[in-house]
Amino acid sequence: MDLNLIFTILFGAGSGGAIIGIQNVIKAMRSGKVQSEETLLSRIDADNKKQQEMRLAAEKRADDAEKEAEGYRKQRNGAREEVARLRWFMIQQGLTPPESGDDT
Amino acid sequence: MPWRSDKRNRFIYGGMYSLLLVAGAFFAFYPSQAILNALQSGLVYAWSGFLVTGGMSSFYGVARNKWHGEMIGLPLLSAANAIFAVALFLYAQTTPSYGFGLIFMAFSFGCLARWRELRRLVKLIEGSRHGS
Repeated sequence: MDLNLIFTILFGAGSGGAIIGIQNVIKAMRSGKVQSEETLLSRIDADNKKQQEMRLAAEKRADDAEKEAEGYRKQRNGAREEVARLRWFMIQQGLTPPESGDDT
Repeated sequence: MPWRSDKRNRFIYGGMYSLLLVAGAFFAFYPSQAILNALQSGLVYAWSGFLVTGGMSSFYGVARNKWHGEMIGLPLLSAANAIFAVALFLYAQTTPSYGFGLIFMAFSFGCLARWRELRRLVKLIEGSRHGS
């Protein structure tokens, strides 16, 4: 491999990296103030905290919904038992109970 | 675990960048024999310019506590160190120079890693800004 090519690649990589850096700076300047590293880190912390809060809130909502669903399931089971009791009573009385519908 | 940044690191980085800046200025006037053997005269000044510009830009960024100085300067410093490492490795023609070449190459990787770290940080915050 030509040694001059190695140096050309290294010079090119350095210049290219600096150009990418300049582009990043220009982009950041256009979108707002260029901030310190500490500010960037604290913003990431704040974002993480916000996301964690959102996740916890979503988990709580899911738990509440599960509890509510459990309540409805108990209510449905109670109603089914009641229907079964009534059907048994009707049969005992010599009556034909009506066809039970699909309650799923 | 929240991210933490140590303020003392700024002083350490500042020391490193200022030394590289001085080294670049020094090499512009008194270039190393390995660099003279490896590069044409114009490129010797370009190489020392990389050190001076990269060191100055990075030092400015650290002194002002803004990331943009390092973002521009670190690739130049990384490339300058890599070039010096290759020159030492190939042209110094002394046995210890191979070791020095490896040390400068390692330092070049360190600068590159710091640059990538900063870039990732900036991209993260850019992403969260667009996302929110």
